[in-house]
Amino acid sequence: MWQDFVNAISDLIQESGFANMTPLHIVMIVIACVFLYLAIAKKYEPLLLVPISFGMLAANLPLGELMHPELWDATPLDFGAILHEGGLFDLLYLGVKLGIYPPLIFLGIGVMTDFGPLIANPKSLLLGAAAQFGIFGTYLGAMALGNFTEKQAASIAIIGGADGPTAIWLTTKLAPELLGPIALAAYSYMALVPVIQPPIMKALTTNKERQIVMEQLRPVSKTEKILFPIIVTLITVLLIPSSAPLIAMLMLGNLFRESGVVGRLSETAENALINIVTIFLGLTVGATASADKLSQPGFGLKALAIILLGLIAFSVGTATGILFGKLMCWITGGKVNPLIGSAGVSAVPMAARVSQKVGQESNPQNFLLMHAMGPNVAGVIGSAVAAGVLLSMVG
Amino acid sequence: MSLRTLNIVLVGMVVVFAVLALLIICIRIYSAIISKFSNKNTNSDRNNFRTNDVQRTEIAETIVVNNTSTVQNGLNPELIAVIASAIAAIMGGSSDGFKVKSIKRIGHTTPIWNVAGRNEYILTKL
Repeated sequence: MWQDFVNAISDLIQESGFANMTPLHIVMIVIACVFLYLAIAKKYEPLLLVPISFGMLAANLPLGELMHPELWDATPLDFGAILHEGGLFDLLYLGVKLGIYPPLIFLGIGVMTDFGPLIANPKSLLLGAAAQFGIFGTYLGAMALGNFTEKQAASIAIIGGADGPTAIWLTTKLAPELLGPIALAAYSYMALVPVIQPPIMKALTTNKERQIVMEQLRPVSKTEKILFPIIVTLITVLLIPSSAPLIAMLMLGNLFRESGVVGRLSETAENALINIVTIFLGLTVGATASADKLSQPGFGLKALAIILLGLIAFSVGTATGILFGKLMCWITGGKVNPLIGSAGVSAVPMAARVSQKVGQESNPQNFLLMHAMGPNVAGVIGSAVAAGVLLSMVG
Repeated sequence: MSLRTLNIVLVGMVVVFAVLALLIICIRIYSAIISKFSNKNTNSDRNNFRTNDVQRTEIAETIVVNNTSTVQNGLNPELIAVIASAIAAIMGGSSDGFKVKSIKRIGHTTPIWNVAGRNEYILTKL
Protein backbone atom coordinates (compact mmCIF):
# COMPACT_ATOMS: atom_id res chain seq x y z
CA MET A 1 0.00 0.00 0.00
CA TRP A 2 2.71 2.44 1.09
CA GLN A 3 4.94 1.34 -1.77
CA ASP A 4 2.10 1.92 -4.29
CA PHE A 5 1.56 5.39 -2.90
CA VAL A 6 5.28 6.22 -3.16
CA ASN A 7 5.41 4.86 -6.71
CA ALA A 8 2.37 6.88 -7.77
CA ILE A 9 3.86 10.07 -6.34
CA SER A 10 7.22 9.25 -7.93
CA ASP A 11 5.56 8.71 -11.35
CA LEU A 12 3.67 11.94 -10.99
CA ILE A 13 6.90 13.81 -10.26
CA GLN A 14 8.68 12.10 -13.17
CA GLU A 15 5.86 13.13 -15.53
CA SER A 16 5.67 16.68 -14.22
CA GLY A 17 7.32 19.69 -15.78
CA PHE A 18 9.66 20.02 -12.77
CA ALA A 19 11.49 16.78 -13.64
CA ASN A 20 11.90 17.89 -17.25
CA MET A 21 13.09 21.38 -16.46
CA THR A 22 16.51 22.29 -17.87
CA PRO A 23 18.69 25.27 -16.90
CA LEU A 24 17.72 26.93 -20.21
CA HIS A 25 14.04 26.70 -19.31
CA ILE A 26 14.82 28.41 -16.02
CA VAL A 27 16.75 31.17 -17.83
CA MET A 28 13.78 31.78 -20.17
CA ILE A 29 11.32 31.83 -17.26
CA VAL A 30 13.50 34.36 -15.42
CA ILE A 31 13.68 36.53 -18.57
CA ALA A 32 9.88 36.30 -18.92
CA CYS A 33 9.46 37.36 -15.30
CA VAL A 34 11.80 40.34 -15.83
CA PHE A 35 9.66 41.48 -18.77
CA LEU A 36 6.50 40.95 -16.71
CA TYR A 37 8.02 43.13 -14.00
CA LEU A 38 8.87 45.86 -16.56
CA ALA A 39 5.34 45.69 -17.96
CA ILE A 40 3.44 45.65 -14.66
CA ALA A 41 5.63 47.60 -12.23
CA LYS A 42 7.29 50.00 -14.68
CA LYS A 43 4.34 50.10 -17.11
CA TYR A 44 6.54 49.64 -20.21
CA GLU A 45 4.03 49.04 -23.04
CA PRO A 46 1.97 46.80 -20.71
CA LEU A 47 -0.72 46.08 -23.30
CA LEU A 48 1.85 44.18 -25.34
CA LEU A 49 4.55 43.21 -22.91
CA VAL A 50 2.13 41.42 -20.55
CA PRO A 51 0.85 38.97 -23.21
CA ILE A 52 4.32 38.67 -24.81
CA SER A 53 6.11 37.87 -21.57
CA PHE A 54 3.34 35.57 -20.32
CA GLY A 55 3.39 33.76 -23.67
CA MET A 56 7.14 33.32 -23.19
CA LEU A 57 6.61 32.04 -19.65
CA ALA A 58 3.85 29.57 -20.57
CA ALA A 59 5.59 28.24 -23.69
CA ASN A 60 8.77 27.52 -21.74
CA LEU A 61 7.11 25.30 -19.16
CA PRO A 62 8.18 21.77 -20.12
CA LEU A 63 5.49 19.33 -21.31
CA GLY A 64 2.91 22.11 -21.59
CA GLU A 65 2.75 21.40 -25.33
CA LEU A 66 1.38 24.85 -26.03
CA MET A 67 3.87 25.57 -28.80
CA HIS A 68 5.92 23.20 -30.97
CA PRO A 69 8.87 25.08 -32.48
CA GLU A 70 9.89 21.98 -34.46
CA LEU A 71 6.67 22.18 -36.48
CA TRP A 72 7.56 25.72 -37.56
CA ASP A 73 11.16 24.86 -38.44
CA ALA A 74 10.10 22.40 -41.15
CA THR A 75 10.63 23.50 -44.75
CA PRO A 76 8.24 23.58 -46.47
CA LEU A 77 5.74 24.13 -43.66
CA ASP A 78 3.40 21.20 -43.09
CA PHE A 79 0.13 22.94 -42.26
CA GLY A 80 -1.64 19.59 -41.88
CA ALA A 81 0.76 18.59 -39.11
CA ILE A 82 0.37 21.99 -37.45
CA LEU A 83 -3.42 21.66 -37.43
CA HIS A 84 -3.38 18.08 -36.16
CA GLU A 85 -0.45 18.08 -33.73
CA GLY A 86 -0.18 21.77 -32.83
CA GLY A 87 -1.02 23.18 -29.41
CA LEU A 88 -3.13 26.24 -28.68
CA PHE A 89 -0.30 28.70 -29.36
CA ASP A 90 0.61 26.90 -32.60
CA LEU A 91 -2.89 27.47 -33.91
CA LEU A 92 -2.94 31.11 -32.83
CA TYR A 93 0.55 31.57 -34.32
CA LEU A 94 -0.89 30.85 -37.77
CA GLY A 95 -2.18 34.44 -37.75
CA VAL A 96 1.37 35.71 -37.27
CA LYS A 97 2.94 33.30 -39.74
CA LEU A 98 0.42 34.08 -42.45
CA GLY A 99 0.83 37.83 -41.86
CA ILE A 100 -2.77 38.38 -40.70
CA TYR A 101 -2.43 40.02 -37.27
CA PRO A 102 -0.13 43.01 -38.05
CA PRO A 103 -2.37 44.37 -40.85
CA LEU A 104 -5.43 43.94 -38.59
CA ILE A 105 -3.65 45.96 -35.90
CA PHE A 106 -2.89 48.58 -38.54
CA LEU A 107 -6.64 48.70 -39.28
CA GLY A 108 -7.29 49.69 -35.66
CA ILE A 109 -4.38 52.15 -35.67
CA GLY A 110 -5.86 53.75 -38.81
CA VAL A 111 -9.16 54.33 -36.99
CA MET A 112 -7.36 55.89 -34.04
CA THR A 113 -5.08 58.15 -36.13
CA ASP A 114 -5.92 61.72 -37.05
CA PHE A 115 -3.93 62.61 -40.16
CA GLY A 116 -5.17 66.24 -39.92
CA PRO A 117 -1.82 67.68 -38.71
CA LEU A 118 -0.06 65.91 -41.58
CA ILE A 119 -2.53 67.18 -44.20
CA ALA A 120 -2.27 70.69 -42.75
CA ASN A 121 1.52 70.58 -43.02
CA PRO A 122 2.46 68.01 -45.70
CA LYS A 123 6.15 68.95 -45.42
CA SER A 124 6.22 66.91 -42.22
CA LEU A 125 6.15 63.79 -44.42
CA LEU A 126 9.80 64.57 -45.19
CA LEU A 127 10.62 64.38 -41.47
CA GLY A 128 8.86 60.99 -41.37
CA ALA A 129 11.08 59.91 -44.27
CA ALA A 130 14.31 61.27 -42.76
CA ALA A 131 13.78 59.32 -39.53
CA GLN A 132 13.67 56.09 -41.57
CA PHE A 133 17.41 56.47 -42.09
CA GLY A 134 17.66 54.67 -38.74
CA ILE A 135 16.33 51.56 -40.49
CA PHE A 136 18.75 51.65 -43.39
CA GLY A 137 21.70 52.77 -41.23
CA THR A 138 21.13 49.78 -38.95
CA TYR A 139 20.85 47.47 -41.94
CA LEU A 140 24.28 48.70 -42.92
CA GLY A 141 25.56 48.09 -39.36
CA ALA A 142 24.05 44.59 -39.12
CA MET A 143 25.58 43.59 -42.44
CA ALA A 144 28.95 45.03 -41.36
CA LEU A 145 28.88 42.82 -38.24
CA GLY A 146 28.88 39.80 -40.51
CA ASN A 147 26.82 37.59 -38.16
CA PHE A 148 23.55 38.05 -39.98
CA THR A 149 22.16 37.16 -43.37
CA GLU A 150 20.62 39.88 -45.56
CA LYS A 151 17.12 38.87 -44.49
CA GLN A 152 18.01 38.83 -40.81
CA ALA A 153 19.74 42.23 -41.10
CA ALA A 154 16.64 43.73 -42.75
CA SER A 155 14.40 42.34 -39.99
CA ILE A 156 16.65 43.76 -37.27
CA ALA A 157 16.88 47.12 -39.05
CA ILE A 158 13.09 47.54 -39.08
CA ILE A 159 13.21 47.93 -35.27
CA GLY A 160 14.32 51.49 -36.14
CA GLY A 161 10.86 52.07 -37.59
CA ALA A 162 9.61 52.09 -33.97
CA ASP A 163 6.52 50.30 -35.16
CA GLY A 164 5.83 46.94 -33.51
CA PRO A 165 3.34 45.50 -36.03
CA THR A 166 5.58 46.49 -38.96
CA ALA A 167 8.60 44.85 -37.30
CA ILE A 168 6.64 41.64 -36.66
CA TRP A 169 5.17 41.61 -40.17
CA LEU A 170 8.54 41.99 -41.89
CA THR A 171 10.33 39.57 -39.57
CA THR A 172 7.77 36.78 -40.15
CA LYS A 173 8.34 37.25 -43.88
CA LEU A 174 12.15 37.45 -43.80
CA ALA A 175 13.61 35.92 -40.64
CA PRO A 176 10.93 34.17 -38.51
CA GLU A 177 13.66 32.51 -36.43
CA LEU A 178 14.46 35.92 -34.91
CA LEU A 179 10.85 36.96 -34.26
CA GLY A 180 11.01 36.69 -30.45
CA PRO A 181 14.05 38.91 -29.78
CA ILE A 182 13.12 41.39 -32.53
CA ALA A 183 9.56 41.84 -31.25
CA LEU A 184 10.76 42.19 -27.68
CA ALA A 185 13.46 44.69 -28.66
CA ALA A 186 11.01 46.70 -30.80
CA TYR A 187 8.36 47.01 -28.09
CA SER A 188 10.87 47.57 -25.28
CA TYR A 189 12.56 50.41 -27.15
CA MET A 190 9.19 51.93 -28.04
CA ALA A 191 8.47 52.06 -24.33
CA LEU A 192 11.91 53.59 -23.73
CA VAL A 193 11.41 56.44 -26.23
CA PRO A 194 11.14 59.03 -23.39
CA VAL A 195 14.52 57.83 -22.09
CA ILE A 196 16.40 57.32 -25.38
CA GLN A 197 15.33 60.38 -27.35
CA PRO A 198 15.73 63.48 -25.08
CA PRO A 199 19.56 63.32 -24.71
CA ILE A 200 19.97 63.00 -28.50
CA MET A 201 17.46 65.81 -29.11
CA LYS A 202 19.25 68.13 -26.69
CA ALA A 203 22.71 67.26 -28.00
CA LEU A 204 21.79 68.09 -31.59
CA THR A 205 19.83 71.33 -31.04
CA THR A 206 20.59 74.69 -29.50
CA ASN A 207 18.41 76.18 -26.78
CA LYS A 208 17.36 78.89 -29.24
CA GLU A 209 16.18 76.29 -31.76
CA ARG A 210 14.23 74.43 -29.10
CA GLN A 211 12.39 77.63 -28.20
CA ILE A 212 10.98 78.20 -31.69
CA VAL A 213 7.20 78.66 -31.60
CA MET A 214 5.58 77.29 -34.75
CA GLU A 215 2.62 78.88 -36.54
CA GLN A 216 -0.78 77.43 -35.76
CA LEU A 217 -1.81 74.71 -38.22
CA ARG A 218 -4.60 75.52 -40.63
CA PRO A 219 -7.90 73.73 -40.14
CA VAL A 220 -8.38 70.76 -42.45
CA SER A 221 -11.74 70.18 -44.11
CA LYS A 222 -13.61 66.89 -43.90
CA THR A 223 -13.29 66.36 -47.67
CA GLU A 224 -9.49 66.55 -47.43
CA LYS A 225 -9.48 64.04 -44.60
CA ILE A 226 -11.70 61.61 -46.53
CA LEU A 227 -9.62 61.89 -49.70
CA PHE A 228 -6.31 61.38 -47.85
CA PRO A 229 -6.54 57.60 -47.17
CA ILE A 230 -7.78 56.95 -50.71
CA ILE A 231 -4.96 58.91 -52.34
CA VAL A 232 -2.25 57.49 -50.06
CA THR A 233 -3.42 53.94 -50.78
CA LEU A 234 -3.49 54.55 -54.54
CA ILE A 235 -0.06 56.11 -54.73
CA THR A 236 1.83 54.04 -52.16
CA VAL A 237 0.46 50.64 -53.12
CA LEU A 238 0.91 51.31 -56.84
CA LEU A 239 4.53 52.37 -56.25
CA ILE A 240 5.46 49.78 -53.59
CA PRO A 241 3.03 46.85 -54.01
CA SER A 242 4.72 44.87 -51.22
CA SER A 243 3.62 47.50 -48.68
CA ALA A 244 -0.05 46.86 -49.58
CA PRO A 245 -1.14 44.79 -46.55
CA LEU A 246 0.01 47.44 -44.05
CA ILE A 247 -0.79 50.62 -45.96
CA ALA A 248 -4.17 49.41 -47.29
CA MET A 249 -5.40 48.33 -43.87
CA LEU A 250 -4.07 51.48 -42.16
CA MET A 251 -5.84 53.65 -44.68
CA LEU A 252 -9.04 51.58 -44.61
CA GLY A 253 -9.19 52.15 -40.86
CA ASN A 254 -8.66 55.87 -41.39
CA LEU A 255 -11.41 55.96 -44.02
CA PHE A 256 -13.74 54.28 -41.52
CA ARG A 257 -12.95 57.11 -39.12
CA GLU A 258 -13.15 60.05 -41.47
CA SER A 259 -16.10 58.96 -43.60
CA GLY A 260 -18.31 59.10 -40.51
CA VAL A 261 -20.80 56.65 -42.01
CA VAL A 262 -19.52 53.37 -40.51
CA GLY A 263 -19.50 54.16 -36.83
CA ARG A 264 -20.03 50.52 -35.82
CA LEU A 265 -17.10 49.30 -37.93
CA SER A 266 -14.83 52.05 -36.56
CA GLU A 267 -15.77 51.21 -33.01
CA THR A 268 -15.12 47.50 -33.55
CA ALA A 269 -11.78 48.06 -35.29
CA GLU A 270 -10.41 50.46 -32.67
CA ASN A 271 -11.64 48.52 -29.63
CA ALA A 272 -12.68 44.88 -29.75
CA LEU A 273 -10.79 43.79 -32.87
CA ILE A 274 -7.46 45.43 -32.07
CA ASN A 275 -7.61 44.15 -28.49
CA ILE A 276 -8.35 40.56 -29.53
CA VAL A 277 -5.59 40.60 -32.15
CA THR A 278 -3.14 42.17 -29.67
CA ILE A 279 -3.74 39.32 -27.21
CA PHE A 280 -3.18 36.66 -29.89
CA LEU A 281 -0.17 38.44 -31.35
CA GLY A 282 1.49 39.10 -28.00
CA LEU A 283 0.98 35.59 -26.66
CA THR A 284 2.28 33.83 -29.75
CA VAL A 285 5.20 36.17 -30.39
CA GLY A 286 6.29 35.63 -26.80
CA ALA A 287 5.88 31.89 -27.22
CA THR A 288 8.38 31.87 -30.11
CA ALA A 289 11.13 32.80 -27.62
CA SER A 290 11.64 29.23 -26.49
CA ALA A 291 14.48 27.58 -24.59
CA ASP A 292 15.21 25.39 -27.64
CA LYS A 293 16.10 28.52 -29.59
CA LEU A 294 18.43 29.70 -26.83
CA SER A 295 20.24 26.38 -26.96
CA GLN A 296 21.06 26.87 -30.63
CA PRO A 297 24.73 27.82 -31.01
CA GLY A 298 25.25 31.56 -31.21
CA PHE A 299 21.59 32.49 -30.67
CA GLY A 300 22.21 34.24 -27.35
CA LEU A 301 24.94 36.33 -28.95
CA LYS A 302 22.64 37.15 -31.84
CA ALA A 303 19.88 38.19 -29.42
CA LEU A 304 22.32 40.52 -27.65
CA ALA A 305 23.43 41.97 -31.01
CA ILE A 306 19.77 42.51 -31.93
CA ILE A 307 19.15 44.44 -28.73
CA LEU A 308 22.24 46.60 -29.35
CA LEU A 309 21.44 47.16 -33.03
CA GLY A 310 17.84 48.03 -32.12
CA LEU A 311 19.10 50.75 -29.81
CA ILE A 312 21.37 52.07 -32.57
CA ALA A 313 18.44 52.01 -35.01
CA PHE A 314 16.29 54.10 -32.66
CA SER A 315 19.08 56.55 -31.92
CA VAL A 316 20.09 57.02 -35.56
CA GLY A 317 16.43 57.50 -36.58
CA THR A 318 15.97 60.14 -33.88
CA ALA A 319 19.21 61.90 -34.85
CA THR A 320 18.47 61.99 -38.59
CA GLY A 321 14.94 63.25 -37.90
CA ILE A 322 16.33 66.07 -35.76
CA LEU A 323 19.05 66.91 -38.31
CA PHE A 324 16.47 67.07 -41.10
CA GLY A 325 14.34 69.24 -38.82
CA LYS A 326 17.33 71.58 -38.45
CA LEU A 327 17.66 71.69 -42.23
CA MET A 328 13.97 72.58 -42.58
CA CYS A 329 14.39 75.19 -39.84
CA TRP A 330 17.25 76.77 -41.78
CA ILE A 331 15.42 76.65 -45.13
CA THR A 332 12.22 78.18 -43.72
CA GLY A 333 14.11 80.91 -41.88
CA GLY A 334 13.43 79.56 -38.40
CA LYS A 335 9.75 78.63 -38.77
CA VAL A 336 10.22 74.94 -37.97
CA ASN A 337 11.23 73.73 -34.52
CA PRO A 338 13.79 70.92 -35.17
CA LEU A 339 12.47 69.00 -32.15
CA ILE A 340 9.46 67.78 -34.15
CA GLY A 341 11.89 65.82 -36.37
CA SER A 342 12.48 63.18 -33.71
CA ALA A 343 8.76 62.30 -33.79
CA GLY A 344 9.33 60.93 -37.31
CA VAL A 345 10.40 57.57 -35.86
CA SER A 346 6.71 56.60 -35.35
CA ALA A 347 6.06 55.27 -31.81
CA VAL A 348 2.73 57.11 -31.97
CA PRO A 349 1.98 59.18 -29.93
CA MET A 350 4.86 58.74 -27.48
CA ALA A 351 7.51 60.34 -29.73
CA ALA A 352 5.30 63.40 -30.32
CA ARG A 353 4.79 63.76 -26.57
CA VAL A 354 8.56 63.65 -26.08
CA SER A 355 8.99 66.49 -28.63
CA GLN A 356 6.37 68.45 -26.70
CA LYS A 357 8.06 67.80 -23.35
CA VAL A 358 11.59 68.69 -24.50
CA GLY A 359 10.28 71.80 -26.28
CA GLN A 360 8.46 72.94 -23.20
CA GLU A 361 11.57 72.60 -21.05
CA SER A 362 13.12 75.40 -23.13
CA ASN A 363 9.97 77.45 -23.59
CA PRO A 364 7.15 76.69 -21.12
CA GLN A 365 4.60 78.52 -23.33
CA ASN A 366 5.40 76.41 -26.40
CA PHE A 367 2.96 73.74 -27.59
CA LEU A 368 4.60 71.50 -30.17
CA LEU A 369 2.34 68.47 -29.72
CA MET A 370 0.12 68.94 -32.79
CA HIS A 371 3.10 69.99 -34.94
CA ALA A 372 4.94 66.84 -33.87
CA MET A 373 1.93 64.64 -34.64
CA GLY A 374 2.46 65.37 -38.36
CA PRO A 375 5.92 63.74 -38.57
CA ASN A 376 4.77 61.13 -36.06
CA VAL A 377 1.97 59.75 -38.25
CA ALA A 378 4.15 60.31 -41.33
CA GLY A 379 6.63 57.96 -39.66
CA VAL A 380 4.00 55.20 -39.62
CA ILE A 381 3.56 55.56 -43.39
CA GLY A 382 7.33 55.90 -43.85
CA SER A 383 8.18 52.76 -41.89
CA ALA A 384 5.51 50.75 -43.74
CA VAL A 385 6.98 51.95 -47.05
CA ALA A 386 10.51 51.12 -45.84
CA ALA A 387 9.32 47.63 -44.83
CA GLY A 388 7.81 47.18 -48.29
CA VAL A 389 11.04 48.32 -49.94
CA LEU A 390 13.14 45.94 -47.82
CA LEU A 391 10.75 43.07 -48.52
CA SER A 392 10.90 43.60 -52.27
CA MET A 393 14.69 44.06 -52.35
CA VAL A 394 15.80 41.45 -49.82
CA GLY A 395 12.86 39.02 -49.66
CA MET B 1 30.75 45.45 -47.01
CA SER B 2 29.37 44.44 -50.36
CA LEU B 3 28.25 46.80 -53.09
CA ARG B 4 24.81 45.19 -52.93
CA THR B 5 24.38 46.25 -49.27
CA LEU B 6 25.23 49.86 -50.09
CA ASN B 7 22.92 49.67 -53.09
CA ILE B 8 20.01 48.47 -50.92
CA VAL B 9 20.59 51.30 -48.42
CA LEU B 10 20.82 53.95 -51.12
CA VAL B 11 17.87 52.73 -53.16
CA GLY B 12 15.80 52.19 -50.00
CA MET B 13 16.27 55.75 -48.73
CA VAL B 14 15.73 57.29 -52.15
CA VAL B 15 12.50 55.30 -52.68
CA VAL B 16 11.13 56.18 -49.21
CA PHE B 17 11.86 59.88 -49.81
CA ALA B 18 10.46 59.75 -53.36
CA VAL B 19 7.19 58.08 -52.28
CA LEU B 20 6.63 60.50 -49.41
CA ALA B 21 7.62 63.49 -51.57
CA LEU B 22 5.07 62.37 -54.17
CA LEU B 23 2.46 62.20 -51.41
CA ILE B 24 3.33 65.79 -50.43
CA ILE B 25 2.73 66.95 -54.01
CA CYS B 26 -0.58 65.08 -54.20
CA ILE B 27 -1.78 66.43 -50.83
CA ARG B 28 -0.90 69.98 -51.91
CA ILE B 29 -2.70 69.58 -55.24
CA TYR B 30 -5.92 68.16 -53.88
CA SER B 31 -5.94 70.56 -50.93
CA ALA B 32 -5.57 73.47 -53.37
CA ILE B 33 -8.40 72.15 -55.55
CA ILE B 34 -10.71 71.67 -52.56
CA SER B 35 -9.89 75.10 -51.15
CA LYS B 36 -10.51 76.69 -54.58
CA PHE B 37 -13.93 75.07 -54.79
CA SER B 38 -14.87 76.07 -51.26
CA ASN B 39 -13.69 79.65 -51.93
CA LYS B 40 -15.93 79.78 -54.99
CA ASN B 41 -18.87 78.72 -52.85
CA THR B 42 -17.98 81.33 -50.25
CA ASN B 43 -17.72 84.13 -52.82
CA SER B 44 -21.06 83.26 -54.36
CA ASP B 45 -22.59 83.23 -50.89
CA ARG B 46 -21.09 86.65 -50.15
CA ASN B 47 -22.54 88.08 -53.38
CA ASN B 48 -25.93 86.82 -52.33
CA PHE B 49 -25.57 88.64 -49.00
CA ARG B 50 -24.80 91.94 -50.74
CA THR B 51 -28.02 91.84 -52.76
CA ASN B 52 -30.17 91.20 -49.78
CA ASP B 53 -30.14 93.46 -46.72
CA VAL B 54 -32.12 91.04 -44.62
CA GLN B 55 -29.55 88.32 -45.17
CA ARG B 56 -26.74 90.76 -44.34
CA THR B 57 -28.16 91.40 -40.91
CA GLU B 58 -28.23 87.67 -40.19
CA ILE B 59 -24.82 86.88 -41.57
CA ALA B 60 -23.76 84.34 -38.97
CA GLU B 61 -26.92 82.31 -39.35
CA THR B 62 -26.73 82.45 -43.15
CA ILE B 63 -23.20 81.10 -43.20
CA VAL B 64 -24.25 78.24 -40.99
CA VAL B 65 -27.25 77.36 -43.16
CA ASN B 66 -25.84 77.91 -46.66
CA ASN B 67 -22.27 76.85 -46.27
CA THR B 68 -22.07 73.96 -43.87
CA SER B 69 -18.79 72.51 -45.12
CA THR B 70 -16.77 75.68 -45.58
CA VAL B 71 -13.83 76.47 -43.35
CA GLN B 72 -12.56 80.04 -43.57
CA ASN B 73 -9.87 81.79 -41.57
CA GLY B 74 -9.89 78.99 -39.02
CA LEU B 75 -13.63 79.35 -38.40
CA ASN B 76 -16.02 76.68 -39.52
CA PRO B 77 -19.79 77.20 -39.41
CA GLU B 78 -20.16 74.87 -36.45
CA LEU B 79 -17.71 76.98 -34.45
CA ILE B 80 -19.59 80.19 -35.38
CA ALA B 81 -22.83 78.55 -34.28
CA VAL B 82 -21.28 77.46 -30.97
CA ILE B 83 -19.91 80.96 -30.27
CA ALA B 84 -23.27 82.56 -31.17
CA SER B 85 -25.06 80.08 -28.91
CA ALA B 86 -22.66 80.84 -26.05
CA ILE B 87 -23.32 84.58 -26.45
CA ALA B 88 -27.07 83.90 -26.54
CA ALA B 89 -26.80 81.85 -23.35
CA ILE B 90 -24.95 84.66 -21.56
CA MET B 91 -27.43 87.26 -22.86
CA GLY B 92 -30.32 85.34 -21.36
CA GLY B 93 -31.03 82.55 -23.82
CA SER B 94 -32.36 84.62 -26.70
CA SER B 95 -30.78 85.29 -30.11
CA ASP B 96 -32.60 88.63 -30.40
CA GLY B 97 -30.79 91.85 -29.71
CA PHE B 98 -27.30 90.96 -30.95
CA LYS B 99 -25.54 89.96 -34.13
CA VAL B 100 -22.15 88.33 -34.65
CA LYS B 101 -20.26 90.62 -37.01
CA SER B 102 -16.80 89.20 -36.66
CA ILE B 103 -14.90 86.60 -34.69
CA LYS B 104 -11.21 87.20 -34.07
CA ARG B 105 -8.72 84.87 -32.48
CA ILE B 106 -6.86 86.64 -29.69
CA GLY B 107 -3.30 85.90 -28.55
CA HIS B 108 -2.14 83.26 -26.14
CA THR B 109 -4.09 83.96 -22.96
CA THR B 110 -4.38 80.53 -21.41
CA PRO B 111 -4.14 80.89 -17.63
CA ILE B 112 -0.90 79.52 -16.26
CA TRP B 113 -2.78 76.98 -14.15
CA ASN B 114 -4.43 75.54 -17.27
CA VAL B 115 -1.01 75.28 -18.97
CA ALA B 116 0.42 73.61 -15.87
CA GLY B 117 -2.52 71.17 -15.82
CA ARG B 118 -2.03 70.24 -19.47
CA ASN B 119 1.69 69.74 -18.97
CA GLU B 120 1.11 67.55 -15.98
CA TYR B 121 -1.35 65.44 -17.94
CA ILE B 122 1.13 64.96 -20.82
CA LEU B 123 3.90 64.03 -18.38
CA THR B 124 1.71 61.31 -16.86
CA LYS B 125 1.41 59.78 -20.34
CA LEU B 126 5.16 59.50 -20.92
